[in-house]
Amino acid sequence: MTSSNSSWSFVFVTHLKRDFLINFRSLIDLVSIISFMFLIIILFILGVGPFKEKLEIIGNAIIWVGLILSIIPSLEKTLQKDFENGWFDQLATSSIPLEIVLLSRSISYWLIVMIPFLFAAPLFIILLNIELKAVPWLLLTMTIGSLAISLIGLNGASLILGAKRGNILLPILIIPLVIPILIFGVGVNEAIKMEADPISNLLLLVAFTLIYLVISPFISALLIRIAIAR
Amino acid sequence: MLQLDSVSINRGNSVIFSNLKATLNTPGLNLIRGKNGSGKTTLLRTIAGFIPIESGKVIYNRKDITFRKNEWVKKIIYVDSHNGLSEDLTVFENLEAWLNMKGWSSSKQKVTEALKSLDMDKYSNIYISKCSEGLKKRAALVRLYFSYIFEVKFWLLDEPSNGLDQASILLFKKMITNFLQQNGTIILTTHDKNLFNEKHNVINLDLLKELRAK
Amino acid sequence: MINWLANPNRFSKLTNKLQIPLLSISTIMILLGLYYGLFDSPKDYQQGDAVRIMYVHVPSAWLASFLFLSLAISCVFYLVWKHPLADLISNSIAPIGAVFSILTLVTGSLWGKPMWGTWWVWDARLTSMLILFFFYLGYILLSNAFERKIDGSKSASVLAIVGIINLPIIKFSVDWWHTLHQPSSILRMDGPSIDKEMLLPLTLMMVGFSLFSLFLIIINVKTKLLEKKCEALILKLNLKEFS
Repeated sequence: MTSSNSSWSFVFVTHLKRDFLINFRSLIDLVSIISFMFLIIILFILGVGPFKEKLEIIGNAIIWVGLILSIIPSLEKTLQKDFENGWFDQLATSSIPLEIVLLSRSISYWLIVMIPFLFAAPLFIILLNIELKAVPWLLLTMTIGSLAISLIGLNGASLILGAKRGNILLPILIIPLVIPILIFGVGVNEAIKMEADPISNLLLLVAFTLIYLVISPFISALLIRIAIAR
Repeated sequence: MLQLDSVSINRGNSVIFSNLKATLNTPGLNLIRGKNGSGKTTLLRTIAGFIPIESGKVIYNRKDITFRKNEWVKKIIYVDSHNGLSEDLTVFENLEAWLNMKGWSSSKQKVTEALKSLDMDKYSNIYISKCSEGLKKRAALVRLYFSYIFEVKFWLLDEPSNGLDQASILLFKKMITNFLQQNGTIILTTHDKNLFNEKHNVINLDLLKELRAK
Repeated sequence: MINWLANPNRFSKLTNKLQIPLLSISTIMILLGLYYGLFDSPKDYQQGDAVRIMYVHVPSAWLASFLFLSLAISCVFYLVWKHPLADLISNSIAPIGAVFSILTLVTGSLWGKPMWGTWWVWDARLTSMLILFFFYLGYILLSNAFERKIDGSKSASVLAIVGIINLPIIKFSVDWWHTLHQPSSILRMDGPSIDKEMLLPLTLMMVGFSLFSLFLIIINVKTKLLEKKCEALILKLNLKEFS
């Protein structure tokens, strides 16, 4: 049965499917996404020393940094690939707004990183000696924060589409945008550690994520249209 | 009738077209001709709606397409040298993803039929990364099969026969003839003189620019 | 009026008249300001002579922020109204703003050494200024990262606009971060409360820096306009050779 179904949800979901197919082809793909996080964690531990006290201080930050550094480069790479092979041109001939497609891209990337992360989380938690009571909060903030990071990564990657050696610029562009997320995300975990109230940090994290959720697809769509017109 | 009414396109500081006027046959076969670098691809992409127009209008059926992008893109299929295929997916998956992106859904059967039209069904499960350039081009052109089902009226093709072998070109020629018989419009650029035998309208960018310069 | 000003020739004519006055007034103000600041104004009872860095640090900081706002506004003009001069103005502002942000960071660092014994402190303001510098750097690099300058201009303009929206958020976050981790000590780098005798040199420096920046921006834009004229002439010559 062939039919024309230009409902947004249909295109949204099938686009997710495409991203999943591309990224989750094999077990190796699943592992490689979090292998980078492992690398960061292990290197930091080796650098800092196995002292529980030291790890307690920086443990939260390390996980967040690992998350940011895992999501953004791979997101940038797939965006670049899709731009170069002309997929964005084709997307421009879809009657669905580009913003919806990009929102779908952010969400698919969020899921693509979060699902392996949630599986690997117990291991990270053990390695970094994170307390049990902090674990639910950690998972919650990581889930929310990684969505925001995915959206920010989308923006950053769209800024450099078509630039020669643009990926060198990506850190400079991403850092300012990601700072609030990092600060509030770690803030929640730190608050839990100090037995203080984490709600204010959490609310701010959620607020910013929601703001990015709305704004980011529009900014990226604008940038991609500029890129296509080249 | 598709009309280019005093279309001017700038890319930064250089003027690509200034007050370009041309009429394309709809339905019909339209060939955009010009030297390398004369702006053939730019014109094609402008008609597709990718490149913003500085001044002037592209008019279809007396309506300016710039303000009706949503309706316009439903009527077109655009294929250029980039193909728009993901290396990490198979031929079948690429076609399916493209269909879904367009907002169309289709049965496995129909997709396989489409692949057959350019003799691609035996490559259905091959990853694009393992395909030759010619196969990739065919995988992209296969999309045109769905024109009849989803009422696509325009094919915008940029060098569609690049890399195709003789057998594929014959199949592609058949597609072209069929589409024209169904009152479709084809706007293309090509260096291949043998790609079609039908009468066609020529838009010669070199001549148009010369006329203007005089 | 904006469209009237957009004509490059008119812009050049108008600014020609402004150039020399701007340069002379700003130079005088800066020299006066430096004199009053470095020699004539009082020492701070706590910080001693080191507080005099404030006369460079504070105007630089203010100007770096203000110039970024102007940059963002100029970028809006460019993206929305496609104003041709706006892009030139944006590109002229960016390096000047970047230098002022570096100046703020360096003077902040120099101020910090006698104060707290370290070359760098993660004071909320300095950290925000560092981020502002990243935005400037990002703008400059991005606008030059593409094959054709125009592509870079559009991307970079979006970055500047995102930046101006994000800066208050970042400032807020960094303040928050500060109180998170240092609830007790509050490092403040704006020196003591300003007393009357400090006000004069400070104002002189502020206005002097601002006028000087305006002068530099005008010179920059005119240079770019001349460059464009040259390019257009060369293009014409080449075309003539062809036909």
